[in-house]
Amino acid sequence: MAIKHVLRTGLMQLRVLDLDKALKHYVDVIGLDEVCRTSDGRVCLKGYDEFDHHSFTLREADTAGMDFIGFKAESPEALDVIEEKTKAFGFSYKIIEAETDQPGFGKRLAVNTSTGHRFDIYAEVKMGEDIPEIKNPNIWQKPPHGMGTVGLDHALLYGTNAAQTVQYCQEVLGMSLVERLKGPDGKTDACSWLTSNNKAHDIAILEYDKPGKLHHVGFKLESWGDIGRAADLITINDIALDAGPMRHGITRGQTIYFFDPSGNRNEVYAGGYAHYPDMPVREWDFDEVGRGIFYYSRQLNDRYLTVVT
Amino acid sequence: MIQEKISGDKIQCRADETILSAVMRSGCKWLTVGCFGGGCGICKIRVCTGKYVTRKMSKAHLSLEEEKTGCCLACATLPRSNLVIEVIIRSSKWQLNTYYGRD
Repeated sequence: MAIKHVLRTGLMQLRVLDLDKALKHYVDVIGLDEVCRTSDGRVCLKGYDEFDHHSFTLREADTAGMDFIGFKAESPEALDVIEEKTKAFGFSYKIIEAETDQPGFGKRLAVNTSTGHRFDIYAEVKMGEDIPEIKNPNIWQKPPHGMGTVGLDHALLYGTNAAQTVQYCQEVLGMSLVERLKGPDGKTDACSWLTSNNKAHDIAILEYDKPGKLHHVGFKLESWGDIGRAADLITINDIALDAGPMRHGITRGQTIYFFDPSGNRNEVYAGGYAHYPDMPVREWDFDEVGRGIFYYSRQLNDRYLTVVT
Repeated sequence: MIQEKISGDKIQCRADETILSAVMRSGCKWLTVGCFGGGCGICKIRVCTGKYVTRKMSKAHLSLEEEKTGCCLACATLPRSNLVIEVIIRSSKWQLNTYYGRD
């Protein structure tokens, strides 16, 4: 059996300062649906077009940021292979038993990366109750609400020793490097974009002097028109705008960035090219980064580079 | 009225407006604008004199000790009297800008 390792970014747990405000933001505005609440008060959400039990968990805490990001392995056998490879690679990990802190989720491998993040790898998840139709399906059962996100898409993480975590994503998780941004020295990579499937990216990792930071979590929209509608909702709901609407040179996705009420950066993202594993890695020189990220203005701003949670 | 200690700039703050929002409206550039939600810590200031209330702020950027000395995040702080404030510039911004070859 061919082991493709991981299939996609499938789960994230995010810390928020105020759960009620966060729910209003992620459910009413971004358009996720509430799936369930845990006994310790966390809330599990999913997009209307996702089959798995949930993809996004909110935890009220006294800091903002990401608890962990989860990648779904192709099969339990693939998860076993990933565990063995993780051991050999040298990242520490622990096993989180099935049906514990994430309802509906099977056993997870919680891996501590060199960037100071936690990657949870899992193979089995119960199917959600409110899922897309399977037999002669319509496009949706209930009209999408808010920005109408179809589901969780990707994240950009900032952390220490990014090169080693990028190597882990490739060698252990089986991801492909899609694009890379060279640092000012022209040798080392400042940022790497990786995918485990046909998407242009599942995760991006940037070298930073502090561990464990979240730059943004990205949710998928269907079209450039939906990005415009998201921009309307950002103004109508008086949400703090970061940048956009615009397009990226890197991945070619259409996008708008904004902040949740706790200061975590969100992106809603549409388009982007289809990646195939035989494609060459696209490479950006450091002095072209403006066009790479902000394709229209061609100039990054300080806030985009430096504000993380 | 909010006065910034180093520059001496004085700005007007509307009722129920955060310090950050008032600074942005004033056009003053001495405060770094971040996440607007009390999460990233980049707009950290210290209130030297005056009364204020705060919304929720990330403890990752504000220790209890700092809070006692008047430190707060401008995006989550609302004046309740005239204030004198000073800006605390976080070092990471300058480190990252150095990394990116900026001034």
